Formats: sequence, C-alpha cells, structure tokens
Amino acid sequence: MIGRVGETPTSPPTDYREVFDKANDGLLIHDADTGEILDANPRMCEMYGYTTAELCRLDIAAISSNEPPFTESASRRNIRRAVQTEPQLFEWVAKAKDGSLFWVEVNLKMIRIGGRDRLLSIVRDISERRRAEEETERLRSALAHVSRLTTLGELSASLAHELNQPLAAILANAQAGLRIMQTDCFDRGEIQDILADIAVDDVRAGEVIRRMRELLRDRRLTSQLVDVRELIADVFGLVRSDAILAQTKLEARVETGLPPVLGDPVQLQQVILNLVVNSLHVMKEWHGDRRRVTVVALPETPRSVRIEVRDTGPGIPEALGPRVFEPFFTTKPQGLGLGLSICRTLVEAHGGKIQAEFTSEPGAKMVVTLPSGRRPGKTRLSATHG
Amino acid sequence: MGEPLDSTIWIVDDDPSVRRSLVRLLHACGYNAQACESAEEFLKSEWRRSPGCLVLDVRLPNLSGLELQSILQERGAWIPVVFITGHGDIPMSVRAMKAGSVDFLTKPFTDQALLAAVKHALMECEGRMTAAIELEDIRRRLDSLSPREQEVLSRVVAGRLNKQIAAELGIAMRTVKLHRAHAMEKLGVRTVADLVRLVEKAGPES
Repeated sequence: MIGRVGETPTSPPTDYREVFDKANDGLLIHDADTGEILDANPRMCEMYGYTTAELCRLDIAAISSNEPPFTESASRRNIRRAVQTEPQLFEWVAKAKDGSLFWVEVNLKMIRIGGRDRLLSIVRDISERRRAEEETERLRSALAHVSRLTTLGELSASLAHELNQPLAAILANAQAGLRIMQTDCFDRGEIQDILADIAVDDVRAGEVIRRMRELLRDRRLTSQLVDVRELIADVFGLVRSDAILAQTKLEARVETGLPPVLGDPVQLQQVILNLVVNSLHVMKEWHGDRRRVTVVALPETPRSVRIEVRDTGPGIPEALGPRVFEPFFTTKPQGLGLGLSICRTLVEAHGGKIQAEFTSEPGAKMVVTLPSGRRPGKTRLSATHG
Repeated sequence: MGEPLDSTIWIVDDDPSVRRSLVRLLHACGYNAQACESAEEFLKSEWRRSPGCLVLDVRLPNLSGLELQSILQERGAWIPVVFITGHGDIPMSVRAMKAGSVDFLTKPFTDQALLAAVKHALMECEGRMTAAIELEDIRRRLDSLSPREQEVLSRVVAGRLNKQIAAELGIAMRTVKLHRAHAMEKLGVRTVADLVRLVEKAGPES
C-alpha cells in the first residue's frame, strides 16, 4: 500500500539558482582541483563581509583564522579528503573581512555542475552555539570551584591539623636546638640532625599548602594526561587526618602499568576527593569493624580506566540507586546534596561515567570510568552535558 | 627543679616527626622522655614503673587520645594527662578537661607552654601518688580488722550508741567497747571524727 497508481509528483524546478541565493547557510563553490573559489552566495558574503567578487579573488587561507589547528595546510587537507574520499564535516575558526574571528561548521561535498567536478562548501555560523557551550563550561568550572571550596571548608580542621603537625615539630626542634647550643660543649651532630628535620618538616608543610592551593584556585580547564596513582596520593594527602578522626584506614590499589587518564587534574581530583570524603563521613557515624576506605584503579577496557571508591560502612540502600546523583539529594543533615551531582557533571564532561554498584560485599561502592589517554592533546573535553 | 629526677614524660603521638622533636626538647630541658606511636603501645609500656606524666595527642589512629584517657581513668591510673592537638577544637578540649586532663595545648606550642604544663602535671602526679599510697594504706588497715570489729565499726560510723550496737549484735556492751577500742587502735585513730574521715577516704566499698 505504498503510493497510489496514477499519481505523479509535481515536476521539480530546473533552475536552482534561487536555492543558492536564498539559502540560510553560506555556500561556496570551489574548483575541485585547485580549491579556488568560483562562486559564493549572499549569506556567505554577509557572514564574511566580502562581496562575491572579492571572495572569488581570495585564497581560502584569507578566510581562516590561521591559528593552529585552523591553518591553511589543514584546510587543504580537508579539501583533499572531500575530493578523494568522502564528504567532510568539521568545525572551524573563520576570519571576516574586518579581521574578526568566528566559529563555523563546514560541510565539504563533491558535486557536479555543468558536467564538471566542483566542491561545495556549506558554511554555517555556529558562534552562538559555541558561546553557549563556552558559557556552560564556564558555569561548570565555577560550580566545580564552589564545590571545591565547600569540600575544603569541610576539611579545614583536618588541613589545619596537617599543617600544625610539621609546625609543632619545627618549633620544638628549633627550641631544643637553642637550648642545646646554650650548653658549653654540645654535639654538632645533634644540631645537624635537628636542622635536617626542620627542613623536612618545612617541605612537608609546603606540600599541604600546595595541595590546598591547587583546589582553591579558580582556573581554566586543562586537558592533560593524569597519573591515577598521583591523583589518589594527593586525595589521601588531603584527607589523611580526617581518616584518623573517622578511625578508618585508607588504602590505594593501583594496577601496575595502568595508563593515565585524560582530563583536568584538579576536577578529577575533586571527584575522587568528594567520593572519599563522603565515605569518611559515613564511617564517622558508623560503628562497625574493619574500618576501611579503599580506592582501586584498574583498566576497564583498553581505552578506559575504572576507579572504584569502596568503604566498609553500612552501604547505600539499593532502592536509592541513581537518585544519589540527583541535585539536592542528601542524607546528611548539613549536606547541600550537590557533591555527587557535581561529580557526575564533571565525570560526564570528561566523557566518563559514574555509578553506585551494588554487590554482595558490605559497604558502598562508587565506580568512576574515565577514558584513558595515550595521545596527549588529541581529544577535546566534550561538552555533552548541558 | 623540684621534680623527682626519676620521673618520665611519656609522649604519645602518631607523627614520628612530632615525637622526635618533643623527645629532643624534653631531653634538652633535662627530663627523661619516652615516645610511643600509639595508645596501644603506651598501654604495653612500663609507664607504671616511675612517676611521670603523659603528653597525649588527641587524634590517634585506632584508639584515640580521649579513649586512652578514659581507659586510664577506669583503671584508676594516677598518671596525669597533658593533651596536645593539631587543631584547637573547643568541645573536644572541654571534654578532655572535664575528664581530668591537666592541660590542653594546641600545636604548635612553645617550649615554655610545654614545660609549664609538664611541671604542673608532675606536681599533680606527686599529689595523686601520695593520695594513692595513703588510700592503699587505709585499705590495708581496714582489711586487718576482724569481721566482728568491722561489724561494730560500721555501726559506730553510722552513729549508733554502744548500747544499740550490743543489742543489734546480741553481745555484751563491754565486748562492744573492747572491739571498738581494738579497731580504733589498729586504724590509728583516736576520735570518732577521725574514724569517719578515714572511712570516707577509703571510699564506699569499705
């Protein structure tokens, strides 16, 4: 019952010039061999600020930003691929006549016009979309920063403790040294030992401050290879004292030869920190034995890394399931309920996943899966989460 | 300076660097100092052997400082506690002081603050040890009483007259007087008022 006998479609118009002139995307016709611009439609002229005649005299390099990776050689490569293999779709930074730069999406496709091979560029201005994406990214960073400040606030007593330990040792050592040197004959070796200890404790205090500052800084997102072992060590360094207060052992198990993950080191640290702090909060109120928070990192697939944060507390009721990741969901009397929801936002922005796993083992188990990185700088942090 | 030379300052802190520096400082001030890394290690040590005091970190893995303090208290230990902490948390210090610690120092603290606290604690230790020895002595003397003497004395302390005691125990008043005189001699008291004070010191179990 498809179609009816006797009906014919109305004949299509044969002159397509109107379509070219009125299209709401910029259209360029190139010579497929040289890449030379042969024609440009009014929308194209409007976007770039040139007349058709001007555009036809220009080289494609003139309408690109030419900032890497948006270089002339890259655009020639795209054209070659479109001509030789298949249509190309990519985002590009373009340059208008007045020198202003803007984001476009370019679709390159081979067509035949008047019996000749031509390359059609369909150019769409996506500045608005990019601005919205950048705004989303900016908001996400701001939210992540606020959340880090909150976490640090919760840890402030512990961090003060971490800082006061070396300071106490330095002061006691210095005053012991002064007393020893007041005696007539003192052991130079002992003074040397004291000074060496002071230096070690000073470095230790500096390390606490470095970790804190890393988290406090409101900074641009970076994408780099992050060593999971270092990531966990930094998190443990921040919560060590809190773990003692919760009478809980911290344990890290990182598989040897684990590839690094790709992403922003501070945001990734924030995710793991949040999960570990959550577990410690639970352990503080929990009176069971075998008190332990374990972070396990192992490869999940050849291209992803799995990081598990487990505790030996009462666990998460399975009925709550994914609700724990919803904003404002909390079981803590003073909690805002944003920690896990921010974790999820950050993990998803890294192209990863976060979930609670329910097993027969006691305690809670949160699993973060992140893409592993072998090729630095190739993958951009995708903005899939809005 | 007045402290017994054989007293020992015990330091319990899980941070090796803090332990080493405090031992050094106390040695430089002429004290015997011993360090333990945990409450458990301290309990196994020979701290009872000599007078002294305990410089105790509040936050320790496993058994915390506050828990160690309450264990020592349950066991009636005389060793005074000076708490040290990495963060001055007021509710915690109030709890510690109420539980009978002599001082609460927030890290980092100066040598003067530590020495003042240690001196104070050692004085406290001397007082507590004297009291403990006295108590031991009183208990021993009370234990030396015969059952009959104990029966008579408990009634004397409760304010009964000789005549009432004789009637209650079904013995002659002369016998009551004899038991009473013997018992007071054994305890080394001469008046009923002294006797009552002594029994009060010994506590409710006697």
